[in-house]
Amino acid sequence: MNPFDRISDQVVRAFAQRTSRRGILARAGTMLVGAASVPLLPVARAAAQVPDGKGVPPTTSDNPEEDPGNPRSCDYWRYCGIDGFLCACCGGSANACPPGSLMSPVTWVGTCENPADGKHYVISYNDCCGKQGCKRCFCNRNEREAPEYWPQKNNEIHWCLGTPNTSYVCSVAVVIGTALEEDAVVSDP
Amino acid sequence: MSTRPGRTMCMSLALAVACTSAFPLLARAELAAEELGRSLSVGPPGDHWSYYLDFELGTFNGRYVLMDADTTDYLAHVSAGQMPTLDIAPDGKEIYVTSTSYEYLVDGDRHDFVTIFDTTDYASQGRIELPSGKRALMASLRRSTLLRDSRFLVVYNYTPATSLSVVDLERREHVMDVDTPGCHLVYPTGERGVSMLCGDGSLQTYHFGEAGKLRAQERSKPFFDPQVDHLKTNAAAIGDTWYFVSYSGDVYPVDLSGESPRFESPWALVDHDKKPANIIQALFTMGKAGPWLPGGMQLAATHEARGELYVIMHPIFWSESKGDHDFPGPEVWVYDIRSKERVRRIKSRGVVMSINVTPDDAPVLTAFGADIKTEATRLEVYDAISGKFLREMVEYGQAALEFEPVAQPGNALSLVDATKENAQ
Repeated sequence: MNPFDRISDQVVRAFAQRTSRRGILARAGTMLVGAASVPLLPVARAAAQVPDGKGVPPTTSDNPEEDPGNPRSCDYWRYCGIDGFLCACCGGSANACPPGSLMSPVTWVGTCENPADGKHYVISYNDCCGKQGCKRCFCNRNEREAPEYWPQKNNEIHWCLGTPNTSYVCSVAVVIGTALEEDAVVSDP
Repeated sequence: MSTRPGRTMCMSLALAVACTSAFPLLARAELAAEELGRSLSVGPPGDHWSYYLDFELGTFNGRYVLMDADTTDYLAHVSAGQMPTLDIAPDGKEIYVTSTSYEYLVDGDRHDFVTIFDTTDYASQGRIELPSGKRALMASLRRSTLLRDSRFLVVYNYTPATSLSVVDLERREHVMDVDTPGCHLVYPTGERGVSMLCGDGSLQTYHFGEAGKLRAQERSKPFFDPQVDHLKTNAAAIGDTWYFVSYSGDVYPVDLSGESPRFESPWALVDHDKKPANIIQALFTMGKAGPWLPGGMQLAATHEARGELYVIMHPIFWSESKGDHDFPGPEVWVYDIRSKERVRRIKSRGVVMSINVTPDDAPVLTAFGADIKTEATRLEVYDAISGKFLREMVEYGQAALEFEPVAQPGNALSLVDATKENAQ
């Protein structure tokens, strides 16, 4: 790795997921609370690490040739606009909720490029709802994300709407279809 | 003084009983019995007292903590439920926390409500139920606001249909809901109104009558083009003028003092012509060469008396131009809103994501930041004028997403006086 790569890698890595809503929460939420009375032992330090899924065993999609990547990793192509815990790390998959939780029927959509075919796909980011948060594999990418006045492209919103229970568990990224090139351009301010 | 070695030994060995017998000179009068059942209350606020929202991962429940940025003392807190919002009465004597909770843990009937706390004992003074299940659960700060008369509180709803709930704090009752199709979040406007951001870049303004009922509404012309550039909704105000920071680094001032919004010309926070850093420049500046952009959660703050706007900024070399608007920054850039020039750069110890500034004449900047190497988050206090790091509050909770100084620009002076009186 050349010095330039090393610097940019360090910096980018350090910031890769430290952004809004759940990104900030994850980082902070992993701080040990109430540990004042005991020194931070190595084991406690380990527990304080960000739940970014780095140690979680990888998996593949059902169709790794045409849908490449690790659905338990934040850099999986279809997560380009996701913000939350990855359901694939929580008993669910990239496009299905964990047992006992329900997928919210309303959500926001983004467009991501599939490296296998170079096409842009419309991705529906749905929240799974009905329990406490899963607290694993935190992923927050804000590419082409828009403010609340464009709710269909906003990921600050807690999307557990229209489900009997509005508690957030984790997020999935469901392929809806291929996107027109203009869609990708319009959604990218 | 002859007892000191003995006392030191006692403390270091923590063998109080044995020490007492070994060093009889330590014997003291017995402590008087103390009163059971006491609770403390909070004295007159200091200039640098601030509330912060401490947010819990997994449940998305929060609490508002009152801290003194001069000492980092933890003074009080109130429970705030899921994705709460905070509004502070102009005289600082009450706070209004808008919350959501459920009947059985995360299940059962959902309750959305406003709790009134007095700021002496931080006990609930009453609760007002809102229509169930409508309140917007999102990370945005502008989901509730007091109207100028501070009698009415307006709560933004998102189901995803959008609406407002109007609450009468004097009568302690929910007055009415107003549908607000296509428009979002709330910014207090005029005598008794709010403006909302709409998808076409305009504002929809709703005016309420003396009893809190909808009186009139109007739609402005678009004041920005969301197809070209977006505005961060966590804007900051000086008086009734709100400063909206855009994704690309412009600021859009909107004067909401009158019945209708008045839009001032946008101006640039950054040099839009700045060229990207080359590899050599990036190497020698740790990536700080080249263009910078605003980003963060509570990314903008103001100081009314000084006429200053504070914005969290980062180099796009760090963000790789991806998701810049939420990206935390290593610096806070300070602008004079009259000259529209940058007057200072406050360098944080790492990066910061949320900031606010106290309104007094020796202001401090409170920040939710993180260490770049360890990624450990922290609650930091900086001198807002010199930019010097002053202190860090340890064990503040999990995530200090938002800061709201207790003192408001209008009452900062009276608070100073009260504190002095108390000290005499």
